[in-house]
Amino acid sequence: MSRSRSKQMLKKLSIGTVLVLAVLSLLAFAAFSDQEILRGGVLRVITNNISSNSSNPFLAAGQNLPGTHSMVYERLFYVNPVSGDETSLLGVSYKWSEDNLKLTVKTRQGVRWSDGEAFGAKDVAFTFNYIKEHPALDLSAIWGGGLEKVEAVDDQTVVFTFSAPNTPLFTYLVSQAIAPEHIWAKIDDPVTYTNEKPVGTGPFLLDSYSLQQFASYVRNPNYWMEGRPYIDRVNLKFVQDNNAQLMMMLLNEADFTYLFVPDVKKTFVAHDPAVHASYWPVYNDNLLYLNTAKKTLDQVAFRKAVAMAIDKKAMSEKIYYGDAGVADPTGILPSQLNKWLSADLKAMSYSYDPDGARKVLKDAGFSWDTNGNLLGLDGERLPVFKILVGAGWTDFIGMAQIISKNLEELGIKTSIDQESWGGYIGGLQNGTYDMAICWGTGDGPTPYYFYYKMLSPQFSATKIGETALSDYSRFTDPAVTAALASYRATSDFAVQLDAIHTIAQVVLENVPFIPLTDRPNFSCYNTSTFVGFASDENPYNDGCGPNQPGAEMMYLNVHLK
Amino acid sequence: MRYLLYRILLLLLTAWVALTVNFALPYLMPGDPASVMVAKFQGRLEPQAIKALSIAFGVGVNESIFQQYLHYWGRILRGDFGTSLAYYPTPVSRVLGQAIPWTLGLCGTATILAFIFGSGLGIVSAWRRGSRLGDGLVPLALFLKSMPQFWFGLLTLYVFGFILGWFPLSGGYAITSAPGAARVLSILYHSFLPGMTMLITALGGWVMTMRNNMISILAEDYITFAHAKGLSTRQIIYHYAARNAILPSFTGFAMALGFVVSGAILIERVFSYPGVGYMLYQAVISLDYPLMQASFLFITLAVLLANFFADLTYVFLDPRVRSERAGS
Repeated sequence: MSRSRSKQMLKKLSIGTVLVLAVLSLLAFAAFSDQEILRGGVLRVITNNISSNSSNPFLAAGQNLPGTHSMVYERLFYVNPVSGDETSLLGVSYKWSEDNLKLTVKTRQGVRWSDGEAFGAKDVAFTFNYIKEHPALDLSAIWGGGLEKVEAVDDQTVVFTFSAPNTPLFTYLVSQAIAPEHIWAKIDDPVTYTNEKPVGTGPFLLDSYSLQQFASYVRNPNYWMEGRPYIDRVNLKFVQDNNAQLMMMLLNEADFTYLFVPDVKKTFVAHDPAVHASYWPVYNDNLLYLNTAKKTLDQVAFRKAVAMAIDKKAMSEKIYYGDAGVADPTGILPSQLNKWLSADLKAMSYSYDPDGARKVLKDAGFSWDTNGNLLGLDGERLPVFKILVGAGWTDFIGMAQIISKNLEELGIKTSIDQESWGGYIGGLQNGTYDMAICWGTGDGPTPYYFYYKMLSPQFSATKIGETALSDYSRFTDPAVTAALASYRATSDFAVQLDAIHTIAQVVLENVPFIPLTDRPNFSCYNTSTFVGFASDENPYNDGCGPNQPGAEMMYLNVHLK
Repeated sequence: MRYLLYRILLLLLTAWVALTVNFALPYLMPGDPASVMVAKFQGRLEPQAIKALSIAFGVGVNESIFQQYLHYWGRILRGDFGTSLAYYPTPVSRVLGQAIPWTLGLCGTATILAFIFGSGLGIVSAWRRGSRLGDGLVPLALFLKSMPQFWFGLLTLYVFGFILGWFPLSGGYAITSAPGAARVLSILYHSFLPGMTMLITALGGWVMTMRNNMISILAEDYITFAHAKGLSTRQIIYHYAARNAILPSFTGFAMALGFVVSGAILIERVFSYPGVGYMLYQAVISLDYPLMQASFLFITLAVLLANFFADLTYVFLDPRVRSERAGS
């Protein structure tokens, strides 16, 4: 080659190399930057929770427009009930004092309310003191649990002072929606105030609403989290009928819903597995409550035998198509078993064993008559036990039918008693039921919350007719009460684990209630337009409905495909 | 005149009885609203919330039943129906006020159209009895009449909404429609399926009623006389036979119009239509006494008024009623 030509070639080569390097570096930048997340879009959500035009952060989620607790108002931390993980929202850090009598929380800087006013620790202190002033707003019993004082020591620090330690109260404290002092201080009757123009710190603002039809929320341009939310708007459509909801999801007319679909994997996901998905994490159990205040049901052996005679696997498969598994006899959730269920307890547990059930009854002194009917300890025929369920609740009725059949084989006669809401809850709380199928009355990131509600003396009663607020079985045990108190008083995991161990052991030995199946949340979604939903692979929330606090995580994470 | 006064007096008496029963009904149901509200959230609310909600809802008021009854009348006359519990804290009048137009629109239109078309088909069926058309309409009408409304609704929703995708699956209108002409069109579009369902299931009853009335009238002597006189078929059917046949149907139609206010609860649920029917269902499930009482009140009054006006119109439509009264 001539000299000039090779020079030209070299020039071309070097220019080419520079170009290639430039392009490669741009690609690298793109790969690591946020550029690839598309912004904008309108998320379409279906909800069957019809509410009035109320956006009152002091009322429960179900009494407000769907975005009140999940889009407009925020809390200090989001505690994921399934995993126990804490996400920092309006609070950035917290610390318990040595004696667990003081909780110091640092609040976030640079947050503004949607009307422009600055957010500060004073709003947090105000919110809690406001609840103290108006007890009708204290839906989580915050002020009954040993809390004495809440004050803002400076613009970014809130101190909660306790008269008696109660570390589990933390979950309820940090989950309380925070309201702006400059607006609510002027409102005299917060219980009936509908707050139609809500001012919050959250990622969205209420835009429009139509009774029984829609609620629409638009992106908050001044939201404190950098770059979020990705989407422009959320339209929530109220659809009452389950079938209509399912059809809309199948046609991809909506992106997200909270819906119990029978056999969801086959009915919904299989329809279009590339985009249809379901995320059903377990947050509670379905249990068979036994009224330990009634004759025969007060015998441990009888309860144990009943527990061993029930085929829970059949329930899981026939009623829930395997979408909800068998519950652990301690009542501890599957996601919490690893951490909280000690190995020695597993050995004390029981499983489906009808022959073993017979043996337990025989050893305790029960006998059968010539027709195979079980006789009481006094030799008398047992009464027909009624299994209480809600009227028309096909899953509970199905479970009751399986129980009925299982107990028939043991010689115990039962009948199914369907009651409407008022009669059902009344029967449970007044202790007029024999056996009843119901969900767990408490749930949270650790088994404490479940055991607290199910076994604490203040929620129980002894006489039939007296109200048991949540310990429907009316079973209490001094060891359990002491263990609950020791759990409350500490933030040391070892002590807490020991307390749970004690309680779980009492539950296994005394069988005050029989956990039947898991109770999952029912989030269903499609990824044809938006991605970033919570899933089993990415469980950043508990798969809750679109009006619950956990849904805020979803609204912040989803973005256009 | 005496007839008119008599009807008015009867209306007032019936209204008083109905409203008293209306007052008593909710108290006969078991349970109390606050516990129901807590239970609704299935363990998500703290049990102490019952106490909190009881304070909020004012359940367990310490007045005697008679005192509450007097207060009830005072409130009715003032137009204050209280605060809804299911849609807390919205006032009941607002809740009902927003739902009634939808129900009146959908159910009112469907009922009126069903009456018109049904009676028309009944006339045809009676006049052409013996032919295939006339006699074929009878089993068809019976089939339509005995079809369960909700089943038919689910079927049409599934076929026309889901499989064919011709109509929307839920709602009163599309949120994305601009207010104005587009919104009106959206409303009409969304009301087509539920309206059609109501129309078709109500049709059968009117066809049969009209047909039977017509057949008995066509056997009368004056019809034969009209034929003999040489009047055209059209004149006989519409000026003489149908006009007489429609009178008995008319009372039924007035009653049906009165019941429109109660909404077609099953239709509204299947199509998620924002009317009174679903509101009433929510009220009953949540033991929302104020909303239940107000809904029953409107339904009762609407039926009574419709009946009253039907009676009045009867006077104008049927001269025999006028002369009977004048004679006695």
